[in-house]
Amino acid sequence: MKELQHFEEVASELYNGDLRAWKEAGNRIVGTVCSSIPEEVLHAGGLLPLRLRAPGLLDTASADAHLHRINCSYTRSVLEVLMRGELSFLDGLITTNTCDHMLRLAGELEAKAGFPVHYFSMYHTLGSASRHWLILEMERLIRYIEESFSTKVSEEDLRQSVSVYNRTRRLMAELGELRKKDPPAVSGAEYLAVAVAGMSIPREQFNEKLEALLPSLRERSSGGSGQPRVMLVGGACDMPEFIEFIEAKGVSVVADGLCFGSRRYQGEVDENAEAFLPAIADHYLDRIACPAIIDGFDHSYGILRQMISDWRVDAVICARLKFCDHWGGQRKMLAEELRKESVPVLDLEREYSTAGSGQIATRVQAFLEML
Amino acid sequence: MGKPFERTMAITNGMLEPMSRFLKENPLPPYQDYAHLLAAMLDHNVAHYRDIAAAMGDEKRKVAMYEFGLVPQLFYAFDCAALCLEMFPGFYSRVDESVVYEFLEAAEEGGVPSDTCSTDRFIVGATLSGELPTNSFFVTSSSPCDGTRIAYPILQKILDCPMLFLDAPFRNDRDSVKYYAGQLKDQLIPFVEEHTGRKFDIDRFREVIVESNKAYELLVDTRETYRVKPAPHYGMLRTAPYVLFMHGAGLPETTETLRLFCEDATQRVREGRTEGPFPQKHRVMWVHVPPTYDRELFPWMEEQFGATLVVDSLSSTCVLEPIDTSSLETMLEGLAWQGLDMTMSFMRYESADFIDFTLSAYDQYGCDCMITTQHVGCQSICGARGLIREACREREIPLLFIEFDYNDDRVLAREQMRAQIEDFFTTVME
Repeated sequence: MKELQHFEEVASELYNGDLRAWKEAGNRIVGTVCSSIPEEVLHAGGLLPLRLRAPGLLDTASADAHLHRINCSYTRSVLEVLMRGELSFLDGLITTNTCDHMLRLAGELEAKAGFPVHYFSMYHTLGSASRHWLILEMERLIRYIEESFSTKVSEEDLRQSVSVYNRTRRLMAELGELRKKDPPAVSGAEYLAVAVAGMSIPREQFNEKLEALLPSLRERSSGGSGQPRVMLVGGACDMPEFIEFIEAKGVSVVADGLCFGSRRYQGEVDENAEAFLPAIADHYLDRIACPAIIDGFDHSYGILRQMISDWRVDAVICARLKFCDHWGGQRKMLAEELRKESVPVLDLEREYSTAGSGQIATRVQAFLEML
Repeated sequence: MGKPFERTMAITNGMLEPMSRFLKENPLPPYQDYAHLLAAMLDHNVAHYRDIAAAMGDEKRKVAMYEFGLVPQLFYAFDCAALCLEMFPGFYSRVDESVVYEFLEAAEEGGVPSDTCSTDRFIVGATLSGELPTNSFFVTSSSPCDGTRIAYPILQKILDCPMLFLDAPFRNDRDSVKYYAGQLKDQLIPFVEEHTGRKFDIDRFREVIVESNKAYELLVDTRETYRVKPAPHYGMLRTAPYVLFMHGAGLPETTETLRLFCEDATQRVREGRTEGPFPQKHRVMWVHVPPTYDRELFPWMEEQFGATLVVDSLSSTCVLEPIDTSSLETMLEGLAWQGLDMTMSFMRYESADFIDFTLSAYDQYGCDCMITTQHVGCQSICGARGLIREACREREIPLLFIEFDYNDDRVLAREQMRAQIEDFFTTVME
């Protein structure tokens, strides 16, 4: 579809045309490695937060010599693109410790980046202690922004950024609603392309393009009616081609819990809050929790269960990255809960850059036959 | 499914206790001078596991099962028995590897991926097999690793048991200690009160902390003697004081066992007889976990190559201050600090800090080579490989990486591991 083409194009490369234009206008880009790093704060500092990806990368030979083969292929891919010099357009980088892979990636990035790197120490529980910690970390992040980029981040800046990001969330929610139809208005692959585009170009620009896109999608159908409706969950997955590969087997991916997908756009920050850092903290703690959050399963499962009901999901595919312990554990708990609801779950282990393979095709096909 | 803790007690009563008795009656050469220390360590373990078994059947007590990001003093202040679950696999792999296989397989059959850390698979497998103590509650933290962050939520689902989740800060500063201490006060104390039915008694808590400070000073003094060349005590005993402290900090019997170690080591230093049965040629720093399935490894290294383990990255974390007992806040901050920096939680350090700490210990103990293990379930130490290698190259430190599973000898058998070590000492170190 022509209207979707721009989103698909910007999702297909990291340093896309829109980013080049942003840089040429004298603006700054800061890389991030995790969807739990509050982007609003970076945006409030006049920076463009770019979730790092490695589209098209097939080989991580240089990174493999530094990280280990049991570190996930997402972290090795990010290190690989850095070592190849493909991140030289960045002005800064925010690393974190969401998982052990990320923690050690942070060390490598800090040692090799050559531009200001800030370590954002991630919380791993829900509740008031973590809320307090998250606020402290955002304050540290603001100090990094102010010191590294000679700028100031005011409450008014935060308010404006929250407003921009909430607009994105409302628009993405609208797009998500269109996936409830049968057949859905957009395929799972198309939705992911839009979602990834949202973290790959200036946010205001994205909002305008998405707002313009939505009317053209309202009467549209994607795929056939009556196909099995699937939810996709799992670790780092930013490749629309992977979902396309699954959908080609005759299913519609109508919902997801991906950190590159709908999870990133859930909920809103309270725009009437007296102070914005606490409001942003509340928002991040209220979303579907990453499986790294040790007491987050019941909270996340409650949201996923509601989505399964609202989007009339027939089955769940958990596509987790090899060596990701968090998703390995989450998959086990999820499968046990969903079994009680008679919702089948397919466990797929994949590498970050894998769009599809004979093995995945066979397993998906067998799963669909079971459905 | 067996009775809870049945196998553990069978090993405790049927193997550890007789072994201790045998050592006291028949000190075996060439380690006869150290037999009393080995026996004291075994006696401490026997008492420790018997206390857990006793608490299981005592309605006035509870078993506190805690993760290796905490220290046990607060539980002892509530008269709980305490079991650090991450130490549990090593208990079995030292004496009966078949139980380790059985529990690992039980976890995998239960849906835990086979590439998850074997410690966490073991804990889940032991739970599914009914071996964990009953009459218990669990306390876990979010460090040190991904494996613990999934094992404990799974445990909670399996057992539907009381479990407290604490957020360990992944920073290494005063704010972090205060943050963690705040959770001990606001969450841990009320949680233990609720599950033991006892009110928190600050005077009793202070008594326990005072006792653990005595143990701590003995631990630090013992470790100080390892800086002497040659270092006193042979390899089998090297990590014992640290493990004793981690099991029993705050108990008088732990203090007394540590006193034995400390007095023996300091007397040897005073009298200039620190040389062990074999001449010390190399001083080794061991980074990350040792193989629990090869308890003879360190004595073997000494005998074959004169290579003495003088410091390991885990037990060298005893570099803090004794806990300030002046107020509840200072005591909790001390406990928080120990929990964050003296346990496996130190793996939460950022890579640069972790390497600085390691190199600092390497220098302090006068080492001349480093062995770094790459436990195949630990993405953290494996992921630090590149930076460790670069740092060692820069310092010209001879370095051996060993990739293995520290609980499971099927990944790298004893003989294969020893062959790698032999190659290192007969080529690089010659």
